Amino acid sequence: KIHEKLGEAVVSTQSTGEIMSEDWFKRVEYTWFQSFMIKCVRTGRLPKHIAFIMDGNRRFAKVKEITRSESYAMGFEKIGEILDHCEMFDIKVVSVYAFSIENFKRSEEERNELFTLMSEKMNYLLTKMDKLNEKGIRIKVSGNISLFPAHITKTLAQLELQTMSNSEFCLNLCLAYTSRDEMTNSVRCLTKGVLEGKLKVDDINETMLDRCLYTEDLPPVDMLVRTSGEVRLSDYMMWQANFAALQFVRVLWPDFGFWHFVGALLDYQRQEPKLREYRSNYKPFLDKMSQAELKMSAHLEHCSLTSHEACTMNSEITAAYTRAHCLRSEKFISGLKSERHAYLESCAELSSAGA
Amino acid sequence: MMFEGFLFVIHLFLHTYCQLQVAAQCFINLLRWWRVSKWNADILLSQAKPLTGKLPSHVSFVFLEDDLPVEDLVKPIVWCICLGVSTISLYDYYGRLRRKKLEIDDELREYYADFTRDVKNNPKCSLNPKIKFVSVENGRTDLVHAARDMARDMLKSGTGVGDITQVSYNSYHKVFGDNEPELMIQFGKQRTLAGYPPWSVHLTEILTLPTCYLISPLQFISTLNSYCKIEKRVGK
Repeated sequence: KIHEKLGEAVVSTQSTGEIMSEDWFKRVEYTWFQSFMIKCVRTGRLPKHIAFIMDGNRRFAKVKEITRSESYAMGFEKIGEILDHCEMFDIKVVSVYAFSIENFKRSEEERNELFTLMSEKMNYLLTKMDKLNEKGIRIKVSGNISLFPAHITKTLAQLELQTMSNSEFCLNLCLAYTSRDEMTNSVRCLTKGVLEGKLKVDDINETMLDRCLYTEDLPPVDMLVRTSGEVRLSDYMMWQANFAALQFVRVLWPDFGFWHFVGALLDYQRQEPKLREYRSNYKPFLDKMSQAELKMSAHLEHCSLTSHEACTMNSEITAAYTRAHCLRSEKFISGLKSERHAYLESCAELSSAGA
Repeated sequence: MMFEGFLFVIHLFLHTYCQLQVAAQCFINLLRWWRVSKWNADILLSQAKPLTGKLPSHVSFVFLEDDLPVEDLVKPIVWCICLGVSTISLYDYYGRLRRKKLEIDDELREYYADFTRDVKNNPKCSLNPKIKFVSVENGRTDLVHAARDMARDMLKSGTGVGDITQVSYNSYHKVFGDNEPELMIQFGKQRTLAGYPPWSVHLTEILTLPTCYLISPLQFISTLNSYCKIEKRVGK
């Protein structure tokens, strides 16, 4: 059973047989065989960014005959454990699908349970800022956090701002997130830039769409893990995981242990050569298309500004257009980052009315 | 060196296991051949009767294998047609299927004629399904083109960005539009989107078969059965 008081040092679960602590940062203790496997798996290629769909908490609560709140709390503990495993395998970025925009459709009672837990856990992390900074953990929040109650938005913004300069590890919490909402938001940002004259229509390309996503500067997802046996993405990271290995694991999230994680990594390593082939073939395709588009745009612009006789393709004109395009794009992205930073700062100073 | 060696042994085991899965599937399908060789559309429909009303309207076949045997890959397409699936999409990363379109069309017509022989009363088989050929060129690129088209229209019309919603953006997508596949069947030893149009898989159920080589209708029905048993919860 899980004890709710934070003062309890160690709790145990019958399901995993592993020791978990209410102190989220307590190191997992590995057996000699686990340490041996870690050393073996580390000699192969490993993902740089893993995304998790933490599915199965409510089913776990039914199976174990515990409350939903306790199950969600165990799910949060599991994130801490996974971060420890990632540290052992030198995996630098982890994204977790903690709350979907679709989850707002759940009953008010369940939503309030989730908000209470979220508030409790995020405030707990705020109190552990020294640990987060010591370990170099950056907490990034991806999603439309304005949809949450003000006190939660405020805490999330504070967490992100106060860990922004950490660079050892990134925990990307996807909250009030769906991939379609994210892509639509990215398109909205770019279209706004076009309407304001900061960008031309042809400046909208894959790289710009990518950089305007909530995940902005994070590397692409190499492996996406979904627990509970469901075999869909549920509107999660569809853009970022476009070339990722998909792992649909038939175990509920609170039961997802070290060996499930190692199994997923081994399967990733098995698929990795083919995935690398897809990615490495995609880049030249993208570059070639991008160059052709820039050349065409440069030609069209030149023709619109000169007489028909002077309208010829010219590498200098293309080069000048490309330089201007790069400048516009960089300036736009820089402006967008400042806007987002300013937004976080305004959220961090929100009053807690409505808590 | 010892750790690398041990990992090599594990991967050797995993690769062998995957190869054995493919071989086992082919062997089982060969064993079943005597049972299904005389199947036609009527028999398929009677086998799939318990799945009536739960079948997807759009099935996407994703081919991740290096070999694309046309005579095998047309079979699940014809079975889908006979079960009333209205849209079928075929995806392979390099677009080889699109280049083989003529060959696929010929093989499709031939197998369709054979499979619908002696069909007494199957109106679904007379449906004309939409078959789309998709590759990585239709993936993220489609989203970029949709974004540009939307931006151009907004410049012309003078509307604000507040009008950009998922619904309005969706209307600019040319590959599938509103018709996202409900079921994706991947053939191969990998499980990845491999550049599949990212907008169009948000609720798609993704099932995997080791190979399309020697695929049998029994195996296909079993896969559809797995799809129909899935509880589609959508965030709740």
